[in-house]
Amino acid sequence: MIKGAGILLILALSATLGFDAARRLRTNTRQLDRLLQLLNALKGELAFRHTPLAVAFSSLGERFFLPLFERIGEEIAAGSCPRDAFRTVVHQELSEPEVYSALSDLFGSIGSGDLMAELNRIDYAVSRISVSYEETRKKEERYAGMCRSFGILGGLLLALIFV
Amino acid sequence: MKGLQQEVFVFFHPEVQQLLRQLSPDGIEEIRLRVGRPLVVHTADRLYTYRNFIPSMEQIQEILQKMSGHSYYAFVDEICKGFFTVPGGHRVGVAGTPVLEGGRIINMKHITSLNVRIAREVKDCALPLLPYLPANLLILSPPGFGKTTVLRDLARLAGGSLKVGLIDERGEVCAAANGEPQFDIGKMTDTLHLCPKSIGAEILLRGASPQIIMMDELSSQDIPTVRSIFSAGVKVVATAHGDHAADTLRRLEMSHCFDYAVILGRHRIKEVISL
Repeated sequence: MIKGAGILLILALSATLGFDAARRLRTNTRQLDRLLQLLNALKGELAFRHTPLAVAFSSLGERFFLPLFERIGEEIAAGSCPRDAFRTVVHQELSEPEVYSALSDLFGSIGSGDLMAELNRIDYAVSRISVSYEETRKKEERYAGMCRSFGILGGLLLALIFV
Repeated sequence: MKGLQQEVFVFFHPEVQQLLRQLSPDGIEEIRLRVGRPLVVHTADRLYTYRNFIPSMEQIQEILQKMSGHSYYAFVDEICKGFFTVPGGHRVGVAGTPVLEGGRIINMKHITSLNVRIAREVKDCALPLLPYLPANLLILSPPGFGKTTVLRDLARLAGGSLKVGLIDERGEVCAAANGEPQFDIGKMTDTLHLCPKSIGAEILLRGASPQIIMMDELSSQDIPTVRSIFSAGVKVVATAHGDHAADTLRRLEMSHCFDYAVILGRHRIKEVISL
């Protein structure tokens, strides 16, 4: 009875670890996907509505479930420049250094030029983040299933060893 | 409405904010910054020159960025016309080097001057004009005498009982921030914010069935628009630069269009002339 419970516990634990690793990979891909959607929507806000950055970031952050951008919008509305707002909100580097670098460059210059300049800046950031997105998506495709399988099989192996 | 401190002073260098705080906020009419020249503040009765604050090009640029909410692109069209409006309805005039393309200004580089004109709401200042409505009124005065203030109050008063359409081409009359008017412009007043008069008149006539259409700063380019409103049987209340009714109407080629000309003195209605 106790042995059975132990086996189940080992299996549950290792499977959870495997599924959690897979979930983290999936979350990264989804976050980057949302970020790209947000930046494309930002282009629309700027091009067709001339929405000021504070309003655009706040509303798009809420729409795309990226609270980081909502906070950046609030900081800009309070009088910070986009670069300072980004530095205040993003204290440490994001999990993807290339994404951090692209966003840092974007926030370092956005808001100071005319519409064409702003749209080009966003396009450049989108192209850089797209590369990271593709890599993350491939990583998820390659490793997410593997993590789940390893979790279950590793648990089985451990259970067999202990039995 | 917030105070001048939050609406205007906040854009300036702390040193300038300190200088401005020493003046009575009700008295300030204009704040002028020019590259390499001292800060000048105009009040109703005095001109203050602060020689210990001489802005550099970078400081002007920084102030401009703050005023635009770090969204310069959102104001380029207005800046190309020589001014933009900040929340609170305060108009910021800009001067610099226009960038031309095909004879049209597409941007402004090397901005060297900023002139902040403080907007004020003076309730009931247009009360003497209310009995004349609905009628075609032309409000005349030289710049800085309070035409926009009178028009705003007239929209508020008339909008209490008449259907009023307001074309706020420069964004000064209702001072909308993110689309929401910051001044009281009347219960039944429909506003088109930052909309050219020619387009705005068409939209209002089709969609809002107004009894009166109000517009600020009429120029000779707006004559066809005003005539189209008259021909639709709708009254027009407009402001224009000038201090002599006959001369201004002749300049605008609108001698027989308006019923009354309202001549303003400094922040008061001087006379109403039947045309």
